[in-house]
Amino acid sequence: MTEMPSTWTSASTDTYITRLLSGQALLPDTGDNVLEVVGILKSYGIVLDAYSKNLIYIAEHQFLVLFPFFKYFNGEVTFKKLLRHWWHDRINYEYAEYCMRTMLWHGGGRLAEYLHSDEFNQLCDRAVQAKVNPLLLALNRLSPQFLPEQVRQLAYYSGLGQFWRVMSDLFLALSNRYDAGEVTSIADVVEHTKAGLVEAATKPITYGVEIGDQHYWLLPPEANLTFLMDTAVPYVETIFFRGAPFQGTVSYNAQANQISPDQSRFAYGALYADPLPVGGAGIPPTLLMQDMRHYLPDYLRVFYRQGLRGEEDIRVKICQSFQKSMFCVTTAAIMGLLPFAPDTANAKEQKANYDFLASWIERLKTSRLDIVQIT
Amino acid sequence: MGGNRRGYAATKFLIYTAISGILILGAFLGLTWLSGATTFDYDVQMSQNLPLFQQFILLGALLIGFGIKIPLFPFHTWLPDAHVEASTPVSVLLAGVLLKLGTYGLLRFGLGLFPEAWAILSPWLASWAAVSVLYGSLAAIAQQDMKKMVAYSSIGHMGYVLLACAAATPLSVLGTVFQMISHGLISALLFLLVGIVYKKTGTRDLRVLRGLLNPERGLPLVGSLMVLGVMASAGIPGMVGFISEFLVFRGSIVSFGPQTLVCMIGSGLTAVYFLLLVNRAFFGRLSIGPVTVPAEIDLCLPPVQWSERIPALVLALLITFFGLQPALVTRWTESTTTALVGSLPAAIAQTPACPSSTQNCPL
Repeated sequence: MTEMPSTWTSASTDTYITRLLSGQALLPDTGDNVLEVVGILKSYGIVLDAYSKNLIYIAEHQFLVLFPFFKYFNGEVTFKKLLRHWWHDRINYEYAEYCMRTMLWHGGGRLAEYLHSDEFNQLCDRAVQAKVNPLLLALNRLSPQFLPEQVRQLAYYSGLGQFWRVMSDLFLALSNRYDAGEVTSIADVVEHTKAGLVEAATKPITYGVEIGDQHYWLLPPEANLTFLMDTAVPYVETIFFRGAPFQGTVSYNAQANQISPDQSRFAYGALYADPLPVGGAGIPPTLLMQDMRHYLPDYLRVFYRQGLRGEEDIRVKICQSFQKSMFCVTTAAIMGLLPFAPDTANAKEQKANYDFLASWIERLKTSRLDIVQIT
Repeated sequence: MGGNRRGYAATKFLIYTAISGILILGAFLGLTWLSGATTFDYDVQMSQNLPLFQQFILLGALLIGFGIKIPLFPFHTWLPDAHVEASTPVSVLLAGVLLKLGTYGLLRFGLGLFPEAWAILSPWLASWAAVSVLYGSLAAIAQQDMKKMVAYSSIGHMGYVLLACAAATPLSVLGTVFQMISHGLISALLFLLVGIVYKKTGTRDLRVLRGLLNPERGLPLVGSLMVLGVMASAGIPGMVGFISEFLVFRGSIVSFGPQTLVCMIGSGLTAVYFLLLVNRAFFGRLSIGPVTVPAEIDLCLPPVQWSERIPALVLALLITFFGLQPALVTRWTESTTTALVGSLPAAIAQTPACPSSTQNCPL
């Protein structure tokens, strides 16, 4: 009945480190893995494109709108679109907001620091005062921390939107290269991702809104926030590693001690998540898997149909493929942040590289790393 | 088809039913011989006027004979073995049809032919029913095999029939018939679902089955129908189990208060063991096997075909439909059961008979 053997053993830290330093990835390099990873990243790229546009639209055009009924319509409200929305024939933008809120909650990086600086508070106050909305101003007097927190959240809308813009283009370019026969191995996938991350590393992350005829900066260029260190790294930390437990899979009762009181020890992210509950109530990634299902390339759909349950369990399979692809992105991120060149001959540098990688592999011990080696 | 110990179970079943058949046949022959009748015709036998002692002997033989078929504690031991070793269709037939031959016999021949002896024995019969209900329910709680649990639940639920027969009021006898139909539908559904679980997972062991309600890779529809089935069995309003249990308890409580209350506890215990079943097998992370750290690799059960789902769906619809429209069942049987009670001597009519229909009964 089981697809896989019921017993398996975990590979040692050294095995993984050796693999990484020799140019291989955390995910084994097999034909099926390449097909799954590239196929799912193509679909993910299309979905991220939609998420990114909507997040940026909300940040810029729904700024402090108290009742943003049409925030998922990207400014185009028609009866036909409304019917499609109600029929649920649409992208689940709620998932993008779920990721955004998770990032806001975990914080991390200079973006979170800047959002709690005096400089930001002044910029925020100026923008709030410019809204000239009596209700908003009254609300601001009543609860002075409410609107700044809303603006911080909107800054995360924008930051995540800008991050996903880059990632969407990166994944779609990967798919095009795969279709052209230029990408044939997992190492190629990792290399493409790493090159993309490095290329965009210093891309500035800025955010401003138009109120009336005036432009108001909230994340100004002077803040020197950049793509890699201020959005990509916190994103990986938050979404890949920490995440948040899904309702119904663990007890939220503090007395049950199932959730760590220290959120830096959270391990509920994409690399740790169990794909089996996907499709159940209260499991947010279901939304992402539903979205990706619409844009699967034909070769991946054919691959999924060969499974025991055909397309019946396609969202679980998508989640498994997605998790594999995220191990490739993680490999790219880790190798991109490696302190020294992987083939360095200097013993001190080798030791530094080893320690750096060992700390990551240690963190991944309880993730699905061992499972993706054999599935 | 069938389990590894099917030879043992079949032989045991054969011996039990053979003894049951001999006792019933012997009782019928004895009745004809002692009454001096020249025919087995039911109406002729109804008018017999045997001494009470002879009635006790003959009724005793029938009670044991039909008690084996129903089955009632302590004549039940063939049932769990037979169910566990039987294939799903046989289990469905066994629970849905065969057991009802026993309860039908009890009603028609026990109560119908020996009303005076029945009236005297009825407090003991009601107590026997209460013991059978409690035993079946408590034994079901202890089971680790899903099918055995459903089988023991049958033993408990058949006890309601004996209780209602013992009370022999118009309402309780109507409840008897309703309980036969209700139990037939519900247990058939439960055995069908357990059969599907066994076919897809290769086990019925509640110690290893978990998370079968998993939406994509488990058996979500089977699990949902199982939840409906156990709710019906536990007597949740809106389903056929509630109607039958309500009729049985309401019809019996005036005559045999303590025994009826014990049976009600049995009904509560139904919720206990079936919730244990649903909680263990259907909730949690999908897996077959003991809990392991790290978790077992993602399991994928084979798909369930519509041909496997449809019989269970039809039964679930009937269970709900008759639960919402019980009059459609009672109108076929009410005149017969009322006539049956009406034909009994006054001694057995322990509560005032309803004039025409249950709707007029002061519930």
